[in-house]
Amino acid sequence: MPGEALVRYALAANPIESPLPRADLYRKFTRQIQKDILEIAFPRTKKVLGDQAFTQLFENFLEQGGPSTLQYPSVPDDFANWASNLSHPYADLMDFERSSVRADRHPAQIDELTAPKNDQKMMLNPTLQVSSYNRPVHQITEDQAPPATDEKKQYIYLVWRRPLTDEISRQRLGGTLARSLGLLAAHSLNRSEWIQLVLDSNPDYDPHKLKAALLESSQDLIERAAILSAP
Amino acid sequence: MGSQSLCPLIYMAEQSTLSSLQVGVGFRRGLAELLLDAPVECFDFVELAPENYLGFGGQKHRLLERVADRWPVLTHGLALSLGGNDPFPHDYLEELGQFLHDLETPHHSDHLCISSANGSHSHELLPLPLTRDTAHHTARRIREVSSAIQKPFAVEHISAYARWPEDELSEPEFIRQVVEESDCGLLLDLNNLYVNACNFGLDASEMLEQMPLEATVQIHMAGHTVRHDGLRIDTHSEDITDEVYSLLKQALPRTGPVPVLLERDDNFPALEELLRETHEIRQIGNEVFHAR
Repeated sequence: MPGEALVRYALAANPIESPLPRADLYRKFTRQIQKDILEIAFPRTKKVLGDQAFTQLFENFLEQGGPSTLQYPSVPDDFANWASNLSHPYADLMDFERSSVRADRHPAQIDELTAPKNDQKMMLNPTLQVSSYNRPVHQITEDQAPPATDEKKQYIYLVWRRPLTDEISRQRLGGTLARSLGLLAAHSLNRSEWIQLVLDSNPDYDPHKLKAALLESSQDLIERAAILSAP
Repeated sequence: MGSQSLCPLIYMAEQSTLSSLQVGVGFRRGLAELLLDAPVECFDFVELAPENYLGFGGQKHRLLERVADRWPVLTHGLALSLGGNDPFPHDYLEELGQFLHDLETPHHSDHLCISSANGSHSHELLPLPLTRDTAHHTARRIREVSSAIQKPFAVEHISAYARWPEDELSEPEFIRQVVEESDCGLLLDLNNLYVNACNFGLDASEMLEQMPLEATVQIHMAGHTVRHDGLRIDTHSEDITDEVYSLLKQALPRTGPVPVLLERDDNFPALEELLRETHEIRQIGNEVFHAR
């Protein structure tokens, strides 16, 4: 079908034959609209890679098919997935930035949810995105050499949208706390029940130190709305 | 057209004496605060793109609620690639149908174009070959969408900057075949019609006469830019031109008092400027329908 030739022409990195007059104009529009949304979604990746390399990455993305989603706001998801499948050296940073996009647009309605009181059941903020990488991606900036990847290490991050303000918050956390929050995702618990379950699940840890750490971390996550009261 | 500076309240007072033509505005993020701060009476309805709100929580969801609390909402999509070959994602159409149902929109519309091929999406409205086969194929897909979303459906003809060598129909002939075969409505975009007439050396008034105006469910009005080489680009970033207002005056007697939308997607003006344009549209409605 001729119309499809124009779609392919608009996405191709080095198109050979123009399917109709002014096809280049359509190609320009197509590329601009897609680049705009990716530059907004991946500001740090663009800075770290530099304009030229980011543009080249974008060109490669389009060349290899471009967005598979018909929803324009979901194009960043496609881009991050594509980079991840390519094992791009900065796929982790792109995934990290994509987490913010996902938290921001997450469909959960959370404005009515508040901080849990002492005996109230708790829940994780439904917009929470959990991701794990082999290097501290939050330290990747355009100003310094990127931190090295260490396959033996795990850097876990939470990203979530706060109620009412829509502020995107981030937190790096250790494996124990991450697993502890996993328990909260699986069980309906108030704070003391949760802490007890974590203590029971980690008999090798010093219970006093672990309890103190859980109290401190959970208080911070409650204050920053990563943990909310269960309805 | 009038250029004096009038405050919104004057326009609103005048509106009550004008025709029953419903005049709305395209709800865009760049206009959101301006529109939500304006007196609700300034506009009879708003139109928005479901793709920008479907599946969103947070600010966008709140924005949608505020808009739907203030005005009736019409929906106009960008994503369906009606002339393409890619199958419609069933789950997407289901979500879209629910979204439209919740908003109580009377119909949904999208563009007569192609934007995807082999699962890749350009997210740009690309022109279709104006052939009988393409019209037939597109009509079949429109029926499929309308059935899936359980809403009456309308198609908007797009601005174009090139034509296919394969074309065998005029644009109005193509649109008529699509509309008649699919039994859908027409979203008559008078700026697109004017832009295409200029870009392809046609008479806009004659083109308009050949359109299936009896199927019109809604009209779009907008401005466009003119490139250094004379090519007109459908940017929605400028004021409506006098020629497009004239086309509205010509169209309304045949379409009847369908909702008329002012589209402004960029170079956003002050509220007074938007209201000057909606006022002009209302004046034309008044002239057409009250002079009968």
